[in-house]
Amino acid sequence: MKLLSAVLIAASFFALPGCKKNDGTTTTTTTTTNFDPTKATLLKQGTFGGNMGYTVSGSAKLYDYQGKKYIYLENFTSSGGPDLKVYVATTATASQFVSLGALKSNSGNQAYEVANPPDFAVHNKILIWCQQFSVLFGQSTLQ
Amino acid sequence: MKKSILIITATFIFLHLNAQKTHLDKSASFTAAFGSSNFSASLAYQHLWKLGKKQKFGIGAGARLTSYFGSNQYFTTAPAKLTSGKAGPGVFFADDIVANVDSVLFKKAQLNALNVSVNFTYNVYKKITLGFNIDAIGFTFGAKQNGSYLANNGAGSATTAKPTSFNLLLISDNDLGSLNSEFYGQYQINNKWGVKAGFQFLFTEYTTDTKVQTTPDGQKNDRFRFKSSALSIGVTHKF
Repeated sequence: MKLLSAVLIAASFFALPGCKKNDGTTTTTTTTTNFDPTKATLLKQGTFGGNMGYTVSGSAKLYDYQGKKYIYLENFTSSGGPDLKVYVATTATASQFVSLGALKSNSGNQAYEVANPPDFAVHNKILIWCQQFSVLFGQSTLQ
Repeated sequence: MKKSILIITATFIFLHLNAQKTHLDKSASFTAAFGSSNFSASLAYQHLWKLGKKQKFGIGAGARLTSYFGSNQYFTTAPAKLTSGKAGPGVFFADDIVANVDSVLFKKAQLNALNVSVNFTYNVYKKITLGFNIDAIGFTFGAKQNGSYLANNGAGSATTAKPTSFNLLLISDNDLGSLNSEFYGQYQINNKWGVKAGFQFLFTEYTTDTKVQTTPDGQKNDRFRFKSSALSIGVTHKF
């Protein structure tokens, strides 16, 4: 029995993933802010529309405030869903995107700092995206 | 690596030369494993040499085909030199370098790995056996899948990937490709048939069509791994 135990312990050394901290999810660089749109410069804006039966309404606005870029969701409402994220993307299929993190609320005004701003001429779509199941809930095109 | 091959080869030559003293079991098994958002089915065939006076201990080799099915899973950066900053046995105890661990989210993952396996058993009682087996080397095939690459800094892009074709057991994150392993207990119903239950640890790996990941220090990567643990049940048949 001792021999078996030794073999199993030795074999598990090769087989097991190891004692590591990793939950397999990504992190984002978005930070919580007390953003005030009345003090910022509006650069672009668009209106949300829903997709495939999901209801998303309100507007998305791109602001510049003291050199930092913010996406501001105004009078916003969205259908509930799992793992909803806010993406700044090039297309509605999220072929290239920057994640601003989890949707903070299904309704109301909310601001997201864009820590690594992309080229908003190309990344001109704001997506409400169910990340886990790769489903578009709604989008707004910044103009 | 060469030493390991020599040791394994010498062991099996020794076992063959001492065939009169040992008893050879040939068996096949079918195993199903159920994890979180994943399922796998395995077909295996093994030769097991029973050792010792009472022939309680068994060691052997075989082949195993594992088919893996997963949905909505995050495959994370695979190479040990990126996840741990080093290779070798030390990776087993090293924490992940979070800044180097990105992921690819696959809506659907399906691959099939055919590997040579190494098997160990111990007869606890006449009809009850404890066992461990692990894939050592082989290859994987499967269809290309669409995924979404997600970097640590929030950037991402759509990508495509295919199963990493070559599998090789090394140590922990140094492993390459898709490798299955199993701890189990087996009950022998009669001379031919047995049932078993246990835990399965399965590494599955995809390689993206382009090196989608660039780490903060500029290293490129296209290999992403999912580690699943699952409860397994199965049937065995002796020949």
